[in-house]
Amino acid sequence: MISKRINPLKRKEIILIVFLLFSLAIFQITMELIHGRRQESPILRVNFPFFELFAIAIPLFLLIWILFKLEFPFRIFKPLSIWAVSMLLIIVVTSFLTNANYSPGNFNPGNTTTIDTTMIPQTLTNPETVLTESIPEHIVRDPLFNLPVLQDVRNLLLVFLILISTIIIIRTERRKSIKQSKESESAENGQKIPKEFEGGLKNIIECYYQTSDHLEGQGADDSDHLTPKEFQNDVSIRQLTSENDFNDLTSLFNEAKFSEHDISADSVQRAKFLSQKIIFQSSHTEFERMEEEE
Amino acid sequence: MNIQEAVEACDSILTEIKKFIIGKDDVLKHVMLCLLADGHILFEDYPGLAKTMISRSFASVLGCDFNRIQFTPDLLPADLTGSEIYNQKSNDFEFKPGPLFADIILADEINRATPKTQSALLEAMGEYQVSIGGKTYELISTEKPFLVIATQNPLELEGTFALPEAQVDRFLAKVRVGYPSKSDEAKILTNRINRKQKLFSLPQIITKKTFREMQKAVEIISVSDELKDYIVDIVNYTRHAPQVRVGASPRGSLDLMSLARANALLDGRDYVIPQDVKELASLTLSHRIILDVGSYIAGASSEEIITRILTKVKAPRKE
Repeated sequence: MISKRINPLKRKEIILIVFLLFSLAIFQITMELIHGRRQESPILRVNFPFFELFAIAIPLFLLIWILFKLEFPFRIFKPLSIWAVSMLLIIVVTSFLTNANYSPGNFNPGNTTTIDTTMIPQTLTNPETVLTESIPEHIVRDPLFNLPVLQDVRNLLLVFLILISTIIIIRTERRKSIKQSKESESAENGQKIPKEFEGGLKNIIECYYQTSDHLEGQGADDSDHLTPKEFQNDVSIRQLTSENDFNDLTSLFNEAKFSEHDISADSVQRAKFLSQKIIFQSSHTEFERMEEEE
Repeated sequence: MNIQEAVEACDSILTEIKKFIIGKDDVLKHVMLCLLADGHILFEDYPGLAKTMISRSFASVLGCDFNRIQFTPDLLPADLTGSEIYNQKSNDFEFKPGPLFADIILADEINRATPKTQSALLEAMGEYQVSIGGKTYELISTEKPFLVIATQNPLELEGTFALPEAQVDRFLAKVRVGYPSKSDEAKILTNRINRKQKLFSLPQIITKKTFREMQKAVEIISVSDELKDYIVDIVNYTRHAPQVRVGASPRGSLDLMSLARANALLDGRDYVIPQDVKELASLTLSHRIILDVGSYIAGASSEEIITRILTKVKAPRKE
């Protein structure tokens, strides 16, 4: 019973768990930034959980936006990259708003502006008075929760994440715009999409990859040595989905990937339809099976 | 000839032969593939399993000249290729062609001949020509096929010689016929009773010119780069597999690709898919590898090792 539930928890789900843990970590950083400067900023001093809500709501909205924006089921790297950039933007904006110079373990940004006593000029008659007046009160507070994994290396990691994510997003968007323009052109001409049009081929191939990934998650054999035909037979034996639908999708995939044929727009639409249908049906079947088991 | 016409011709050939060769559909399909791929076939199995009958049946329906050579220990190379004989009338040497000068040769029990005689087939099988007395004679033309179908008994039987590796490598595929099932054997008996005679003859379905066109149709089948890599990966793995002492040659890669293309044609496709390659890898590679002593003692067969190798090589299915 337990193994049946854990088995499907492979790739995508593990990545999702890591994604949530990372969200939690970033949430902690944001909280530290806000609370560290709370006593110094008149806006932050207001006893209203505006920034806490901000820190929670934005990632949630982003997640929802990603789910709706991308075609379901989405490839995990796309939302992950968008999410990473968004989260980092939150950190930057929050840092800017609170004027915090955040460093790990130091939850009192006031420390960074403390006056070094050796630098005080000797002409001052009462240095004690000066010190007590100029040095702000240290606000010592415990973090909401402390994750030991957060070390200085994180800063470098975050910078890398920003760069990589930005490149991925820009390239994805550019490809999408090129694909859309070519699709509209071909639709206007009412002709077959030529082989050179990578978008049509890639759409079919991507649909197959998504579907096979999903079916592997549902229990199909994920061995690397299986050919599309063998994988199709395995899916058929396990009765994970309608046999004809997946056979058709496999044929379209074989033609798109291994032939020199022109791929028609109808084939692309058919592949998309079959992919969505198979994923929906198999998800529904799995859900019903789990309910029956319970 | 286009693919559709070739498929129809293949179907009618196989349908006709299946009327007489019962329960061996896979074997017949493999022979058809080898013929389409223009490759020589090595049948290996025990006597009495219709190896000769299958060869003769294909020659009949393809309308090809057929010669059967019974290999024996005293057979000489000149008995195969022919020789120059002095003609007293013309006062000159005349070439008398041997039985190799036919379209389809059945080299029956090839491993009963000495290696010297077996080697006489090397040039014929590899270069489709024979050289006698300083002259070269072509065995193949645009309208004439040349195929060697050899049969051999398993080596554990007495009075046999192992084929030289160089010759084995020239066979496109090694086909094992195997015993028929009980029900199929019963059908064979029924067929014999209905036929009312011991021998049978099959009608000619196509001409050998058409057959050559069918072979040419295989050349238009495309093979994608991923599949070329897949073929190379499989063959390359045979050279590094721990159970294998000598792996398959580049000729093995070429032959695997040819068979895969023929299979695509038989399936009505003008492109090869990974299944074509994987399905036929054992057929065309198993006789080209030499197992190491450990595997040999353990009783592993070449086919089993190839099947194991196929589970180690990544197929072009995922990203």
